[in-house]
Amino acid sequence: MTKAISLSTLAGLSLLCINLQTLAFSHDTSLELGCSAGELRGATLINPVNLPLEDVYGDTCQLALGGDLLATRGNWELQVSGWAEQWYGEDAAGKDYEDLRWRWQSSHLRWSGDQLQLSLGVSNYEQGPGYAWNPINPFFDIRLNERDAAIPYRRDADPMASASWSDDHGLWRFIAMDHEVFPRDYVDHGSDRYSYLLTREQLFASSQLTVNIASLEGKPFAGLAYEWTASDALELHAEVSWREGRKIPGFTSIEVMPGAWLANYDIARDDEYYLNGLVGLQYSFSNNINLIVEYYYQDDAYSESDWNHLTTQLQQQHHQWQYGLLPDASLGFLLTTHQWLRLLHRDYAFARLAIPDVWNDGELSLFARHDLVDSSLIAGALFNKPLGDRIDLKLSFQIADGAEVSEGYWIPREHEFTAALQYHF
Amino acid sequence: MKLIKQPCRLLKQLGLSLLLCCAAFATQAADLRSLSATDLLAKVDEYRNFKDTAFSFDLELVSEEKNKEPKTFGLHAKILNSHTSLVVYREPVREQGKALLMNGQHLWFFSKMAKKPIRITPQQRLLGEASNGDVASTDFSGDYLPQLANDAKAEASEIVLQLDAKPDALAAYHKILLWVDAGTAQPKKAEFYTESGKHLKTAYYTRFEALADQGNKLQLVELEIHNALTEGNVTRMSYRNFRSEDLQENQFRPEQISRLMAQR
Repeated sequence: MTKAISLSTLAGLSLLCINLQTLAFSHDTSLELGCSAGELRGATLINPVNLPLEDVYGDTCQLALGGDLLATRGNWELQVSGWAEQWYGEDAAGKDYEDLRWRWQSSHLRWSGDQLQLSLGVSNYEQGPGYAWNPINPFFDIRLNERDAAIPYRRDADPMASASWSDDHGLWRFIAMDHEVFPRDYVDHGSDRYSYLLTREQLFASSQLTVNIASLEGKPFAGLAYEWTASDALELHAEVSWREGRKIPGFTSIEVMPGAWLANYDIARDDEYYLNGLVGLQYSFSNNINLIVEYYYQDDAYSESDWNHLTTQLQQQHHQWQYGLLPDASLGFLLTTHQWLRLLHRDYAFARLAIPDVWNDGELSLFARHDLVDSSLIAGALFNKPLGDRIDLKLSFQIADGAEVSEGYWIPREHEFTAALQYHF
Repeated sequence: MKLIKQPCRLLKQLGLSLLLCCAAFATQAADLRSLSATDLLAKVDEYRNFKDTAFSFDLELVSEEKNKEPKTFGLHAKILNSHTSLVVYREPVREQGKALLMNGQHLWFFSKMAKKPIRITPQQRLLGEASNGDVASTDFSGDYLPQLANDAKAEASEIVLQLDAKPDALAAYHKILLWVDAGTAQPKKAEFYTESGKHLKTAYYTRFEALADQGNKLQLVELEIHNALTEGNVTRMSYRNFRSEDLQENQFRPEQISRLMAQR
């Protein structure tokens, strides 16, 4: 019996070996150690107690191991991508904490024929020619576009199934995705999270047109993007999208005692129509400096009256907290506002300059995002310096500033400095 | 007597051979000079690609700049035709996962940081003096209209072509002056100019090698690109391991690229 099992085990192992031999593997694995630190700005309207807000805005370090593994055999492809992140930091009470997180990144099992391609897996879906924002992407997450940081942002990918069909001039793609549409808190609000996207990418001589039609949690969405390589050094791009309904942090307030209001954020969807857009260019100078300039308008963010309504409510809650009326509830409401920051307004201008060969073979990128509504600014720099063949040293710096009642000013850290070392196996 | 006659016959035969050889060379040179600029450029391109056959090669780029450590990149390129290609970064290790895909006039860059393909321009630099267009494109004929540049300085054994970017093509340079060997059509030197007439760089085609497994086809295997604005900035490109490949047009699409990148 034992002999029979051994023989069958051996036979199984042999078969496995043969199968493994026919698989082609490639991997891309790295280990990262990064720390960020910065000085808190002090009390603001939405953070009157100057709370470090734990790992979101406190001093943290991260040790992360991860990457991609790709196995291909014939028409099949299996890609597994993920990161284990060990976080170390100090919480609001000054107590040390550790947190181990596993982040699934885009991973899939894919079958590719001559023209047809079928995929099943998870995806951090990215689409669109814009650098800072992609209104054409119905599954957009702005932090995935914030690439000029020493410690990259990662979040769990969304379950997705897709089918695409390529022809001589482009492709058709259909995607079904389980994704929480804006806002960005990734809390399951219990609604139907399934969204469906049909895309047509049409290639012309030196340009590409992308058309998206989607159903996002049952509401219609349509998008159009055009990118054109106008010359050997200039690329122009534009994106526009139209959607019915927006999910935006609104709020309810109930008068629980005379002069004291209990306010709560309420992620409600309305049935209005919204038009978002972006225009931009990319230019390569003959000295190898690369410039990106973009303007974007998001109709589904706060309007002027929405913004005035919000700031009035925040000032009222701040007043209540100050005078001891429902202080904990008021403070909770004020602090919750932090999770909506960075994309509250409608008009933004963005610029990025990438300068190669700084300090021998380092690359420096400088970026700035100007909020054209409240004139606040988020600006930063990332310096990437290779140390030998396998190590990258990354240093990034970011500032956020503006008037007292502005999105930029409410970001708790006025300055943030991050340093990271990445070892590539 | 026989002993004397034999060397004489040998000398006569040798002389005849030399004469025939010279005549052949003269005929070939004359043939090349009689070719139209377009046909001559097509002959030049044959040293850089495999005409209608898909192929792959490894490419080493070494960039030297004044007072700096030389930088080396190892790349692997898969070429379907002169305007459909994939260049995958292999060395150094930290560059792995990056790739450059050219399909017609579309040029995309892939990296680990940006999961979506990023559209780039041919002018953007790859390493040192080599731009994306220098590496991803393997012919001049597709992007440039040639004409004879009779006023350019040249040796007697050289023909100089002026290549102007085609209006509908995505050429990396506005104008190129190309020095060609009048006898063999081998490219010898090229000067690259911007639209404003600024001389950007000069390429020297330094070594050609007969490829035994490609019917002894003579192939360009080394070139040097010198920065015309900063003396001493040089990038050397060395090609090796040329192989015929079975590649299809639909593999050179952004959505298919992960599988093609994984293939050695």
